[in-house]
Amino acid sequence: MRVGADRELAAEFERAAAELAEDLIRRGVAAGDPDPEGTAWRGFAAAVEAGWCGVLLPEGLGGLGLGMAELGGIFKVVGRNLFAGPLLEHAVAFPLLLAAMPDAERAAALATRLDGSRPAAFVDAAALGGPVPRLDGGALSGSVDCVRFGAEDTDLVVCAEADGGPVVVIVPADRTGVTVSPMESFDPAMTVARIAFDRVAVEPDEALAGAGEIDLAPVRDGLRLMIGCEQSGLAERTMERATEYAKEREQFGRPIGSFQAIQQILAEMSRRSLLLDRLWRDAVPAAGVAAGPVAARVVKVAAALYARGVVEDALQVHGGVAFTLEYDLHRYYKRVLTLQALYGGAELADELADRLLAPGNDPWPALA
Amino acid sequence: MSATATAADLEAFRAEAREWLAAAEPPELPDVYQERFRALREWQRRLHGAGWVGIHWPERYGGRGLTMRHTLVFAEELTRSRLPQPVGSIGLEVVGPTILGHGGDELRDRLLPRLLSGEDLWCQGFSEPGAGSDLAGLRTRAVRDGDELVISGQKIWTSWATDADWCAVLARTDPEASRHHGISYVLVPLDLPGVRVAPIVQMTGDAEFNEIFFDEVRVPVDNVLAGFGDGWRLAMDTLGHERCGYAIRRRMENETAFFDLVAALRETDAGADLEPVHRRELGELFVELRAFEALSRVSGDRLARGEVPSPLDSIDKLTLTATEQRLYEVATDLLGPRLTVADAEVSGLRVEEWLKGLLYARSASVYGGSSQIQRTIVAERELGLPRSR
Repeated sequence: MRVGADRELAAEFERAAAELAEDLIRRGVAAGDPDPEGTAWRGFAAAVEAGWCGVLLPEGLGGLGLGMAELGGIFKVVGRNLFAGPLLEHAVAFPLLLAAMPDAERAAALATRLDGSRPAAFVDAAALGGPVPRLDGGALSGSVDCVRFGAEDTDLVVCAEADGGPVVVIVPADRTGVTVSPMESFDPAMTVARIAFDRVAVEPDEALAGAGEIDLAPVRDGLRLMIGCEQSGLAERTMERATEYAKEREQFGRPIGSFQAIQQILAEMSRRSLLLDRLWRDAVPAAGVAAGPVAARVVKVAAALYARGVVEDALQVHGGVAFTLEYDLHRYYKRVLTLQALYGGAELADELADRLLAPGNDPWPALA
Repeated sequence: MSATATAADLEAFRAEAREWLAAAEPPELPDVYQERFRALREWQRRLHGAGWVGIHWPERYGGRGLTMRHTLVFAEELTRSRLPQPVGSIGLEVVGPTILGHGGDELRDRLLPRLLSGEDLWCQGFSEPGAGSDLAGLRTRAVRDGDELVISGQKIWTSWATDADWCAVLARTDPEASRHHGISYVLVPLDLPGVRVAPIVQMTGDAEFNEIFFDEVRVPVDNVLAGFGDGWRLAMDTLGHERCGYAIRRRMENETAFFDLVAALRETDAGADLEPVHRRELGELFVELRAFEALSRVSGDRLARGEVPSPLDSIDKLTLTATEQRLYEVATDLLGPRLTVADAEVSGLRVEEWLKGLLYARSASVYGGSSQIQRTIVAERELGLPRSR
């Protein structure tokens, strides 16, 4: 049972994040735009400065040591305002990895390196599926496609397979044998790259832990849950924008929002957006960073079932203008599609079904 | 509802409920509708005797004076035990709260204890042949004659009227007033001269709903709830309770049906050979049910705080409809071609039972206000869009 105080803290984080987003808008900074210098993402820089990357990080590593509940509201705001930059990496994946490192001293040193002042990429083949790089005798080989923000000149945090199990290593992108090939990104607020490793030398102290020592499943589940929160924000904001538009846009001498054909679409958008919001708030752990495999999949599948459809309906309600590059609604659509693909969408429902059907599982606790 | 509940209170209450339910003799439920109804009526009497009906109702009327959260906990446990809900649900969840909220002391003391115990069962006479979605177009008339009202007209789609003792009737008492203002909410005993109830057999084979004809039926003017002309306001209040409260309870029943489905697939090993498309559907359905659970948890809080009616009730109702229809679609998809053989059993599923559920689920998008009406309510009152007419 959730305690009231936790929820208040989470609500405070969400409010503060929303204020930051409003402040950026007032200053004329689009959180989803690349910096004019082309080196960073403005919303990302503001988020790093606001401390979002330290929310999950344990206190011993200089973070706030808070949980998914506090970060969920922040990612909702990220979605609502299309914040760009490697936030999932720096606010979710890296803090969870650092917290799982058995050597606290090395974790503290790495926490400084991954604090977001220089964006790093998370090279995880599991994000979109595909072969996993191998680490054999200190040499990393393999290639991963479509790495988010992998085209930045930066550190690479790579999930690889070694003889003793999965291993995570950190190598700079300019290390000999690393080839970064920028790919054309569908989402304008993101760069993607193919990153190839050709017998790249990895020092022993560049591995976060020994092979098999860090369980990557909870990291990926944490990402799934927070991606779901971001999708929830995208759905809610596009629903609001379509509603505002329907009140203003006139055809046949009256606002199109007075036509039942439009009203029925908007009502259904509002229902699906609310369902997704209620769901992640209910499924997020009250305290701590363990998303849980069922909750993470439930939220990610629900986001696939509800968020994309809401954004598509928002395009429909806006009519022709929605299809122009100038009007920014397409950004929400591109974002929702790229997020849906990360770490599995509706196909995760298959895993839920397997879990339900597994013999010996009492179905009721499966709900918990 | 002044009582508050801590998490520990609720868990203790849940344990108490579980213990009682585990020891309770389940009622035998015959297939024949009328006999089943009688058995369910007896079941409500037993539940009430043990303190499980009217849990959040004032003790003055035979309730326990606990909170709405306690009521929801019991409903959950009752459903999980695969035991039926009390049969007088229209009284308990729809008409009862309206009488409690708007009736005077005399009416409340006289009617509510019998409503809780199941001695009096209630039905709700809202829809008419000419007034479905356009409820305010109703034409049943109640004309004042001294201390009495004389009611004439016809109601339709009235659930459980054959076994009900009372009906909450919406009738036009002022034909001169505007559509919404000339309506009153009148409590009518169904054993009076001039009342005729005619069952309508549904496509499921049950005769759950009915027509009621009123031919100069006389009731005291004191049977008007609140005041003359307040009927529309009360009806909206009632429908809010119906949409929100009913959706919460029905959700639990649907979850139970879903887990029965899963259990049947597991026990027959049919789960292992599931077609990929059915596996996907099953997983997605679980997610949809889980989302509805999260939604209705917040709605339960809303109900407990008395924030009903609200346009959010319509979102509950729409979601109930979506998940219930999806549940039975997915289940009957699994039956495959054997769907046509009512008395067959496929993968441990009784075809007849799931088929009946499928047929019944079609009513969810119509009763208590159609899905189209619900969306119009959400559009106008939640989203603030301009009125469409």
